[in-house]
Amino acid sequence: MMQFNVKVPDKPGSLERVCEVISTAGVNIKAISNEQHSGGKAVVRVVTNDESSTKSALDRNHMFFTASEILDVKLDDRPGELLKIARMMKEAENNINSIYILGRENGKTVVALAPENVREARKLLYNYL
Amino acid sequence: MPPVLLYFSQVRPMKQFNIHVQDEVGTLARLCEALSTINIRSISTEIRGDGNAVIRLVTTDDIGTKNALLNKDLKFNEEEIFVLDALDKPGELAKLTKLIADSGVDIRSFYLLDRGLFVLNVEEKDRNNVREIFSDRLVTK
Repeated sequence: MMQFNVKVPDKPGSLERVCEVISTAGVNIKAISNEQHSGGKAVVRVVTNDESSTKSALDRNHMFFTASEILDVKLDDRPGELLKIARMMKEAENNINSIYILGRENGKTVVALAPENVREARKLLYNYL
Repeated sequence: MPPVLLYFSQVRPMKQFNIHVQDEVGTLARLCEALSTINIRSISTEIRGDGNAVIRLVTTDDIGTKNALLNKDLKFNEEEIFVLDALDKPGELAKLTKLIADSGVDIRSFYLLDRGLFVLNVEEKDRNNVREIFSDRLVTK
């Protein structure tokens, strides 16, 4: 699964612009979050239901972005579940660059995980993917 | 210009915990250990680029979360956020963010809490503005 990291000015309307560009392409946003950076910049992280159309829409609108691979990890919705995978990643010395919740699916909580080493994390968390 | 038609029903104030940590292997595991009996509704991370990071949490138990963080001497602050209930279809989020942007509100963070539920975190000076924009949909209890 791909996460698009769209670089925008940190000002009112920037988030709207990203949402508008993606929705105009008929693409549904599955997850979104923003991060304020120094120097009046921000990054909007987006996961959608159509990666190809999202990329085309961002390109067409001259938006500056990168794409990074994330893992969608499925956990039981109860206390301590996140701890299990956090411990596994710690023991494997694989840093978690970002983590957030994508939603709920068939009684499971789906978590987006961006690890330092995607390939190793995929092997390690195989039972949760 | 006619008002933007929005298919969302509620705006609910909630609490978000911002935990200030170092960006290193094992940080999340330590935090999850501290919160092992608390159900986490939302978690997201913000890498600050100077070796530090902020983990943003929304849980089902504000008091339990606060006590657990205090017990582990974790550095944190609490913030009021707004949870917006929106329809899960293309364009709804664009309408919602347009409404917020047109009012001049400065968004500090915005992220998904659950399917169709978005967290809006604004600068303190803009919180009353948000309450006004969504006054007819604000749920306080």
